[in-house]
Amino acid sequence: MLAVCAMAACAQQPAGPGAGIEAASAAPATSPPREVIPEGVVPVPHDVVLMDRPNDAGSAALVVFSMAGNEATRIGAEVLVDGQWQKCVLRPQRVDVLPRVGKSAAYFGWSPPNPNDSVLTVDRYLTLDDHGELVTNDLEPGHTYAVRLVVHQGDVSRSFDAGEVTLHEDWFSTAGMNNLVSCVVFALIILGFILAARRNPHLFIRRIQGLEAVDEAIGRATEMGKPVLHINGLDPLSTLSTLAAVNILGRIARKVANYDSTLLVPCFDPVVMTVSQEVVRNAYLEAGRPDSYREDHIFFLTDQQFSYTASTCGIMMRERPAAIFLLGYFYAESLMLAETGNSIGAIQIAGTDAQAQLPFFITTCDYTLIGEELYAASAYLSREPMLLGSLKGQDVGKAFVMVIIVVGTLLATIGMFAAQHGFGQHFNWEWLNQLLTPLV
Amino acid sequence: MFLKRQLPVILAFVAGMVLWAQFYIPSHASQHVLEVFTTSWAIIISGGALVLGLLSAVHYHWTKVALRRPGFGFSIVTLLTFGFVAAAGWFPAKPVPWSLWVSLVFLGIAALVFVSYLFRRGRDPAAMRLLTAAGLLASLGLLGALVIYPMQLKMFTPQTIQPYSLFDWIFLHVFVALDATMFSLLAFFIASAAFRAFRARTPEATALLIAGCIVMLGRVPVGEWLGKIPHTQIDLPAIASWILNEPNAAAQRGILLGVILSQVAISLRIIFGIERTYMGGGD
Repeated sequence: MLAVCAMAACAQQPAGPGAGIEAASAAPATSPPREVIPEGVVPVPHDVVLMDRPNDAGSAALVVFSMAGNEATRIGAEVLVDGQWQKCVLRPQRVDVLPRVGKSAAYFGWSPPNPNDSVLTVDRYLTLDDHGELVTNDLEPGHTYAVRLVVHQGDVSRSFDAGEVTLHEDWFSTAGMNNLVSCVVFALIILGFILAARRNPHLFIRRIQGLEAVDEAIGRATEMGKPVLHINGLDPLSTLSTLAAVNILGRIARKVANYDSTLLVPCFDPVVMTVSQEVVRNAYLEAGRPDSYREDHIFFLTDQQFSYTASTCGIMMRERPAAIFLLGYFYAESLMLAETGNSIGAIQIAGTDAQAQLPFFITTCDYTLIGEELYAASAYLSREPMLLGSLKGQDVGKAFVMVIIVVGTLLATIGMFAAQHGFGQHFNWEWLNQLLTPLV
Repeated sequence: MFLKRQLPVILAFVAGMVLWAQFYIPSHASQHVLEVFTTSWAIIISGGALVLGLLSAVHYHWTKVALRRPGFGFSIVTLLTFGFVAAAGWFPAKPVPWSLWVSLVFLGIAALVFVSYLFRRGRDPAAMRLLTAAGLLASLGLLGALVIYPMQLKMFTPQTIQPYSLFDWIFLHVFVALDATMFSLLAFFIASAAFRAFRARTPEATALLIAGCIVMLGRVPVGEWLGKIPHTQIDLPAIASWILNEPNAAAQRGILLGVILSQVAISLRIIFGIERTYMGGGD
């Protein structure tokens, strides 16, 4: 698969499609010093390797090379298609800002042999259609392509053969191996704690003030004879924070049904509205009060951000809810909603994983569920052992990550210290390298 | 019970596992699966749900008007605007095709028949039969014209909003302006919230006040100017950058890490059917 090719040609010629390859020049054994290029001389790429890009759908090739270059040096590529050299879509790029092998761990691992080599991705080429318009074409898997590099230095350009490569579809991305391993480990920890929770349902979970106040807020609304307002955020149901908010809505709706209070849910997304109606209907059913359920209390307002904000603020001012739940993902409207709720004296419980909106909620709401607490809320409110078990497993997973961060920080610090003072150079670290490389 | 309980859990498990595995498979077939899930199916479901959403919104405002609930006047404005903008979408920027005029004529006839029907209800059976027949004919004519109209405009082919059309004018000169007005109100809300947050009642609030003042000063030209005063040596922009890039970023990453792990946990709970509240199924 790897097609390694020495430089074949480097005679001066004008750039452009169909430009031929000319006389070869011997590549020096060692790379010339970077950024020192005599006037009028086009630098020569060395150690050129053309390869199928790993971990992809067979849609790109990588050209790895070493070359001196300065800010005036540009490099592009051409592919041979049906006997014609076609320009790649990528514009000639500055050589000194091209990605380096050492920075492309997804393709070359953490310790490639030549980390300073440049990487050029070839994934598309241009052709002209019958009307003379430029058409972009993708490289296709299973095809063999000849590729050449085109180096531009000022007005002068040269082409250099990079060889041929056959593109293959990959059926497993090794770049995702670290993700897969950590995901499986984390899943096993959580599933283990869920099983443990079935045997011992009395798990200790730390107290979350915002969730302890849910009963108080709904109770207050009931005593005052005012409704409870729940907002599921502005993201669609495919966002996990919206799903978490809908889960909490189910718990809140059951409490509201038990207290025989009124629940209003203005929705931003029609799909979220449909699911919310179903969730609230079942909550009322489980609470034994199906007759109290009012479908028109869970309604769609609009899917425009500030129209929704204006409408919801209007509902707050008219209906004067005594408890407001702002849960899910919010954007710039978060402060407007929370400030309006604050101005009518409602108890407000907010929860979001939108970091930029957290300060606004903390400032204006009585209780704020910060990030992960939003996801824990459903399990916390239900007190169901299996859900609490997953919560416990999640905490253990977090502790595991914290240990990795501390160890990583220590190793990085020791590494810098060792590099400065020359420690550890007598030890053979290759075994560690070989152990870790498959994981990256 | 199977359709309501087990089937959704099975579907969630299969979809969850397929999309999870898809993440690690870069082949074209795998990408196709993702496209089917995220584009085709999602668009179909959203399109269907949008109709439900519109019906819900109209029902909500109609009920408010019918029951004369507080603020029902706003609902009247909403319903009228809804109808007007929806009708405006049918008016093209180009010359109006004949089918639109025909549909308007039939609409007028139908409206006249409806009004006459209201006034003559229960009085003259022969006239009522005539009115009913006229109403039916007008409705059929209107329906036919409304089918021909979009065909004349080639509305069933993908197209964007036509520039200089009535709908385009409403969007640009009414909606965008109102939207920007609402957004600009945010400045006043921020001032109000900042005033509340920066009251130095506790040590934490005092620290917030000091940090907030430094960051605010460090982000404006006055902050740079302060550093240039002889003998002061205060580099406020650098201090502001340090606050943002070190303690602030560290706290944000901590929150982000917790969020990501929680998302994995909630995904597992949903995939394995442990969390079923979102299906309306309870525990």
